[in-house]
Amino acid sequence: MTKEEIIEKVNPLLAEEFEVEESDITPDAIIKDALELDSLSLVDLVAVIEHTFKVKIPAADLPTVKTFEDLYNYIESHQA
Amino acid sequence: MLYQNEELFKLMPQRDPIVMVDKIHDAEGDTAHTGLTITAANYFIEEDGRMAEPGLIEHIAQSASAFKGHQAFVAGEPLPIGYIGEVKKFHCYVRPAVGDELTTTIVLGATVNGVTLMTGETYCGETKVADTQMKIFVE
Amino acid sequence: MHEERLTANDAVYLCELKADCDVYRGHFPGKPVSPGVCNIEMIRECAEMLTGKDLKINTIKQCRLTAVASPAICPKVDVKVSVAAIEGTNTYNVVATIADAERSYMELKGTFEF
Repeated sequence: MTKEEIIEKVNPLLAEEFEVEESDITPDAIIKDALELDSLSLVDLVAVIEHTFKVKIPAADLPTVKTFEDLYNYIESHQA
Repeated sequence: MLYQNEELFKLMPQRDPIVMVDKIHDAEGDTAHTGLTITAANYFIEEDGRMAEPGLIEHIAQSASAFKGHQAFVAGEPLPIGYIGEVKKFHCYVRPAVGDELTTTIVLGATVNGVTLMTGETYCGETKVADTQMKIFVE
Repeated sequence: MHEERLTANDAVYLCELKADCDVYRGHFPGKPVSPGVCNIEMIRECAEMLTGKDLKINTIKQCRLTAVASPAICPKVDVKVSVAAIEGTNTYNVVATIADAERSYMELKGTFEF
C-alpha cells in the first residue's frame, strides 16, 4: 500500500473509533492530543492498526510514533 | 475439557457466590472457549429466572481472567490478578435463563503498558447471547 | 438511599456500599473489592427509579472503571444518571457516573430498553 492509500484508509477509521472529526487528523498533529488518548485508549489505537494493516506496534516503538505522519511512515515501512 | 468447576480455582481469585465461569473447554494461542451452566443459585439471577446483563459481563471477564491464569500456569509464572478497566461495545441480545449452558469464545488482543484488549462472544446453543470488547489491567 | 431529582431526566442517588453484602465473600476472599459489574447493576437500578420502568441493558457503548471501589474506600457514592428517550423506540440513551468527593469510580454510556 502506498502512503496515500494508507492515509485514505486509516483516517476515517481513527475518526470513527475515537469520535473525532477527520479534519482534526493532519500529518503534523500529535496523535495523543488529537485522539485524546490515555493509558486505556492507547491499546485501541494499536488494535485498529494491527487489525487493519496486520502491523503490530510493540510498546517499545510507541514513543517514536508521535504525529500522524510518524504513524503513516511506521505503517508503510512495517507492512507485509 | 481442560478445567471444570473447582479446578478453575487455581487460575482465578473469585469464589462463591460470584464464580461466573465453570469450564475451560480448550485454549490455544490467543483464543479460548469457556462455559458456564446457569443454576438457580447464580448471583445474577433475577426474579423472572433470567440473568441480569451485568452477569454476562462478569462471565466474559472471568473467562478471560481464567484464560490468562491458564497461560501463566502453563508458563510457570505467578497468577496474574486482572481488573476490568473498560467495557466497550457490549450488546446483550437475550438474557439467558436458569438451566442454560453458556459457551464463550475469548480472544486476547494487543497489550500495551499492562492493558490488554480482548473480545468475548457468548452463545447459548446457536443463539448469540452477548458480545463485548473489554480492557483488562493485569497486575 | 437518598434521591435528588434535578429534572425529569436527571437525578443523583446517594447509594451505600454495604460491607456485609454476600458478594464480598468471593470478591475476593479476605480482600473486599466491589465488582465493577455490580456498579453497572447499581446504575441500571437507579435508571429504573428515575424512569419508573423495568429496564434491561441493551448496549454499553463505553463503560470506564476509573478507580477501585470498596465499602472501605467509598462507603457512600453518588450515582448520577441522565436518560433521554430515543424517539420511536422503547429505548433510552443513558449517561451515568459513580463518584464521591474524592474521585470518580465509573463512567458509563449506553442504551437501556423497557
